[in-house]
Amino acid sequence: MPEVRRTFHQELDQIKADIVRLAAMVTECIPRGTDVLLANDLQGAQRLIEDDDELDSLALDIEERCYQVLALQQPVAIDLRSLVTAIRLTSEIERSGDLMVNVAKGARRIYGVQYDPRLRGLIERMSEEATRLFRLCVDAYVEGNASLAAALDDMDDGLDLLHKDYIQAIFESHHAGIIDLQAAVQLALIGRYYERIGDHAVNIGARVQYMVTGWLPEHTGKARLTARNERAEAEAHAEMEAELDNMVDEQNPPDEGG
Amino acid sequence: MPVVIAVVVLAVAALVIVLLRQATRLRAALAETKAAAAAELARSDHERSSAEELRTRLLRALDAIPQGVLIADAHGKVVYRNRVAESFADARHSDALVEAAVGELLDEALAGTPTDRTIDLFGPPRRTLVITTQPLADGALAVIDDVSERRRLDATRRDFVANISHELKTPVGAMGLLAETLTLEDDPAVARRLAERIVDEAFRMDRTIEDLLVLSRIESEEAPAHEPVVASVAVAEAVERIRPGADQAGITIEVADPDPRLVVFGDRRQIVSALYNLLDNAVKYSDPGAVVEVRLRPDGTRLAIEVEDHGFGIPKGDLERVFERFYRVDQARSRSTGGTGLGLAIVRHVATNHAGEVTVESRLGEGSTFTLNLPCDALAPAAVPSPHGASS
Repeated sequence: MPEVRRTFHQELDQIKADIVRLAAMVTECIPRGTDVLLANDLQGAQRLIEDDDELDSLALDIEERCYQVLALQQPVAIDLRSLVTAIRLTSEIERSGDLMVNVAKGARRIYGVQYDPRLRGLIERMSEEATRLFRLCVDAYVEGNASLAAALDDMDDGLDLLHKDYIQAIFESHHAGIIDLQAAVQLALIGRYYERIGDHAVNIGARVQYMVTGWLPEHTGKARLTARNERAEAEAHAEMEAELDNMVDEQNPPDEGG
Repeated sequence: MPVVIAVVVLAVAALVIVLLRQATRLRAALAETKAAAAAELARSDHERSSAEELRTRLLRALDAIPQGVLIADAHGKVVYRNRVAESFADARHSDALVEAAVGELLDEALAGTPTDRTIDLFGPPRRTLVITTQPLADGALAVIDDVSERRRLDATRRDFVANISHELKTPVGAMGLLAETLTLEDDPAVARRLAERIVDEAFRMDRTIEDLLVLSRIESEEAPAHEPVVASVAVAEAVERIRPGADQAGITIEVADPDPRLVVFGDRRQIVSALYNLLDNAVKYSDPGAVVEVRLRPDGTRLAIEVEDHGFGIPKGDLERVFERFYRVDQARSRSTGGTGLGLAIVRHVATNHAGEVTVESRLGEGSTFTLNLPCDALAPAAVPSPHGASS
């Protein structure tokens, strides 16, 4: 039945292409949301929030098709891993899109607030960095590039550092009386959304690693835990043995003198 | 008997002759047919090869056009893509969205309605694409057109007209109102203040018109003078001109040790005016007490003159547009700085006239660096003209 296998692989390819499209929609949303935020564009914010429905519906559609293929084709090995990865990726990407919706909502909440150029500059840079990370994780997925996927974790440090600077800048701005507490909190939340997008990109990288190699970064943690448990068990065992020895010693005190 | 033999011989001879003749005719006919067949073959060969040639030629022509062209068959399957359209196939990032939109529009076209859609992509780079589809007899055609540059030019032109009217109308309106108040004013102190404001507005308008004239002169000048201009001298002259304004604003201008041998070629006045405008801009957008740095970086046959400020910076979206005439990042602030909105446009035109370019890098809240890139040469120290030798 070569025909069936061919459509099966076509279906897999189509799922992959749709995930790339879903990710592209999110990658577009990042600079777009930043524009909305920095330009105080209320209509743009509304449009971005509404356009998220399209993203949700595509994500749902991809997920359903994955389940269908799993149920009907019972794939194994790399095919199974890529389907499971597809399901995980869809939710990571969809969540990242939601974060940009949150940015748009944040833009509505701080409408009219004047904040200093340094904060605006940092927002711009966080947005660029998040966009870059998101593009790279999609590249890793399309190319099945496990080393690029693994490198994303380190690349995310840049965004984390920016986020730290940004929070510091908010404190300074608030201290200097440029923004009030309410605006400061909203701005801090907005910064957090960008930082979270970077984390999602790292998660996608981890899932791509799993798809290609069958190994997850979490395996290291799991191995650590197992090793720790084993060590604790061995120690407990040794302790118990020592106690037993003591008890035996007490019962039969060594002959003194003789 | 001999008669019979003779008759037989004759008959045989006649037969042979007839047969021979027949054979010749047959052979000739055969040859003719062969020739005709060969000719026929040659013609169809020729036709086929010319059809093949036309096909290649058309394909090459389709690949050469800057738009993406796709043709789908009646089932919506894409059967042809030209080179530009090829780049959208199996694409990632923003291009994947274009591909999806093309698919949707092709389906609509197959249903019989020609459609078009404009897609704004945030990239980076930022692009605007227009996709147009047309139903064909047995399929549909889609054309992808990148209109980003056209959109940008349209916006520039539209804004220029709006801005120039605004820039000229504002001082005139102010002068009218001030003069009207003045006619009814009896208090000499107030009258004096009003008159001073009128003078200010008149000067502002004068500066705008003066800059417009400079700009149009630079724009119309095809090839500026090609005299050697010592870069450090031009920088020093521009710095001297800005000094009073900078001192007043409490801004220090630091020129990193300029190499006196560096020479650029062109019109000295234009180059100084470009540098002055860059410095003027840097001073205007700096906080009091800040430092504006000027650096000369030679790189082979090019010289980069960098003017760096630590001022407000320019939002990313405005970076490309700051060199447009009258383009202002922040209307409210620039009015108070008293600029004409033409400075950077002058810089750009001077750069283009001198086979150079001007670029800008900026971060909001951190400052901007403008770089004027000009073709240059290094002179032997002896040939360095004195700073005031060539003043016009």
